[in-house]
Amino acid sequence: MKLCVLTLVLLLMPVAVCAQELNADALLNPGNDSWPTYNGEYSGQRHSSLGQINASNVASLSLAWMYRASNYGAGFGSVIKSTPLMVNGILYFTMPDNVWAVDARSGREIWHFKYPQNEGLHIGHRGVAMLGSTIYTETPDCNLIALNAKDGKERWRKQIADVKLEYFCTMSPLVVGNHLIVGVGGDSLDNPGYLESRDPETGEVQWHWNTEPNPGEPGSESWPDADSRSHGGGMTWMTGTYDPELRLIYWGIGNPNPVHSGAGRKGDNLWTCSIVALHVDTGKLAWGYQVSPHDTHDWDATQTPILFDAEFKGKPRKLVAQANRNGFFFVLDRRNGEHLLTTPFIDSNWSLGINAKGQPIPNPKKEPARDGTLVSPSSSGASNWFPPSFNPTAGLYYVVASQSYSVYYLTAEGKAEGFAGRDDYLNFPGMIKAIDYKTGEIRWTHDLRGVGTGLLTTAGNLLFAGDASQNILAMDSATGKTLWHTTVAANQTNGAITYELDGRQYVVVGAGDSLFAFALPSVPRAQVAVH
Amino acid sequence: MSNRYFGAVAVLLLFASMSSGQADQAPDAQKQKTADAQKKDAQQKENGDDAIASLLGGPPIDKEAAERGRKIFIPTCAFCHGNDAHGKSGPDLVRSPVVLHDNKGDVLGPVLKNGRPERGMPAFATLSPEQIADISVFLHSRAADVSNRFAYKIGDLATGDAQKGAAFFNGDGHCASCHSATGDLAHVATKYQPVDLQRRMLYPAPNLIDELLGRAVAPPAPTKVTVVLATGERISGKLEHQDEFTVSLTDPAGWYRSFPRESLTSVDVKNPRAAHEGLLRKYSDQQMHDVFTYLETLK
Repeated sequence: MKLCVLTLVLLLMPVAVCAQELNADALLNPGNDSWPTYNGEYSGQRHSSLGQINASNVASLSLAWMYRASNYGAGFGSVIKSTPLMVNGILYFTMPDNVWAVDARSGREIWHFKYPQNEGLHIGHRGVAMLGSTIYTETPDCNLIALNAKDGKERWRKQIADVKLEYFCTMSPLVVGNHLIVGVGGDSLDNPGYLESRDPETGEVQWHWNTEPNPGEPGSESWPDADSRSHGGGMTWMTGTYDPELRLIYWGIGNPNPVHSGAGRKGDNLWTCSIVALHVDTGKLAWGYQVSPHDTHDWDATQTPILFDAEFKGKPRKLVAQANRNGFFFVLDRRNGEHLLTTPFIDSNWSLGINAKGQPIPNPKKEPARDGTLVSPSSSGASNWFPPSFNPTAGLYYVVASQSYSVYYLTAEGKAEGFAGRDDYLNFPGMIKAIDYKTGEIRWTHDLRGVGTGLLTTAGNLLFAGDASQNILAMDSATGKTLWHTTVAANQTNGAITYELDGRQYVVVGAGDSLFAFALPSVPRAQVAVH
Repeated sequence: MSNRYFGAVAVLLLFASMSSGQADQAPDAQKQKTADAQKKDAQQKENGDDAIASLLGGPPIDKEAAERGRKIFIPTCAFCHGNDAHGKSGPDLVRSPVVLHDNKGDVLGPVLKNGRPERGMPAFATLSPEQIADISVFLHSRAADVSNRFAYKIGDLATGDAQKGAAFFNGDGHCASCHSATGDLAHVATKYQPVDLQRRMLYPAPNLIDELLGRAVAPPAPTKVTVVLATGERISGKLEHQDEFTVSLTDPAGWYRSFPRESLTSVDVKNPRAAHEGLLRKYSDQQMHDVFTYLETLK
């Protein structure tokens, strides 16, 4: 038996050492030497247990390498909003129409895949997914493409939405076992949103879930008629999270359509502006919780629903929390959607209070009007797609928050369609807020003097972020005090990642068309030997 | 093509600005970029709306063909589909997959030629291929009108009470402590479109929409800053940039100077928009409409 095990180990060894592939099981408990999904792992916490870089030494953090992308074509979304994956020493990341593989130790380009020009909206791109030896990405014109991870050669492409109907796609797909979850975007022409699971081998549909319930299903009564329900929006453009024990995926659903006019869609408009839990194998709805009933301000609920297990009012719970675009922070029990907490994290002015279910009650007087209504937040929201972070040790949820204001106008003449209105942005403030998940209390606020982007926390008690003046910051995650900063050529445009290779911890940030990798200047030999 | 290019440049700026905060606190290099872009914008000004349309609504629409198409559509199709193609007894054609997949009549042509008798749609066998192509362009223009929010027309904003607005301006709003209806705001209503005036009234900073649409914008009022060095030396000037680590200014002699914050014993910035920021929290919508209606009287 022992011999057998040994043989088995010997047999497996070469595979384990040589293989650059990513096994689906590895995603259940990824090591610190990888960042194999959009959020690093399924919970969406973006909290790393790496602590080599910590408060005592972060002052000496310095540039390990820099990579500047080239030949990506002109386009307004041509910045690195994607969160790179890092698997077996290789980073995989994107801009619209572009995928790169880059050496995670040195920043050298390994390959560059360029997708042909197309008519999809090129507003941004969040990145790729990986399974086995395949890289998956969604194109602006809504093809799902599979690339060889080795050389970036295309294996196949499958349509996931119809670009002619004004869908466009930006999401980083999520791999769960033998499922590849893909979402869609585009709310300018009243298309219905949906989420799909695709076969990673073939790209064929495994299940399809409409964000608007089918006739007769729970929630269908929240629409006045079939026409409004089938043109009700509810996009799925941000990567969700997953609980392997419950086998549920958690997704934030987009705003209803027509965006700024609610007259033709009286009712709550489920499951728009909701956090939903779906069975990953079937796509069946387990539960849903709507954070903005009958939204008219473009405040989708696509912000990462972060999962963590912790006590709430003395009881151990499996929780999901979201700092929503509408300005409120929500905590739910993720087994069944039971509401636990709603608190404001900015001073919004659109709600009359909180109802018995914990939902903010929209003030009808703050709906968009022909002569304008002054509303906080703007349609960009109190938070947006920028990845938040949760530090389970501190129990703090970190979010880039904006006390923004807009004048919301209703413009539709006759039948409202599309956006049916517009908000005129006034200001663009931004700050990081550390929210105590138990109470919603804001522990600290760090002003970024403008809109920030994604966050990362580590066991080194650090929070990494970018400000609006091209500075990358490392803060004490308990106090928000800046411990280190450096200035790069552009504002940070994505959420930072961290990984350890050869005993050295790297923090990699995307800013404009470049990646910047930071590490401590040198690692003592003894420490290397340990690994 | 040039429209599309312009659109891309404009929105690049939009996103650059969004992540860099207030344009007037941007470094000089960025300001130069903005100035260059504004020059370009000015040249393209008359094309501004088209540019946005092309950016968010697909390829540019042939307006003449769309107008020819509209003139055929109204007597031929509007009875069932509505003058604006939003649908009546017949389906909505603005967000119709058949229309959105059509290119110059290749999909619509057979539908029009043969009709859809099973759904009660008659055949329009006499329409020429050119007429069908024009109808197609008209319907695509309707979809573009709906999907492109930046081309939406905003109007009829002066719904308030000018007298109450004047009272707020001179009273609770404390607007008159910085502004005067006969001074800096004389004839202000003739200088801006209503929607732009309302925005500037609320928050007088260069706006991304201005850049997007290629409108000329007045440079923001300079922000005054006074720093005190460890030596006790006091330097006042025009704020160029400030972040968590550095403060930079142009001194009275015209020299650019920057200081690490830790080298300064104090930094005093006179935020010219502080009063406006305070009012954002204070305004009721009615007060906003009243003050705006008052400003609209300043012709």
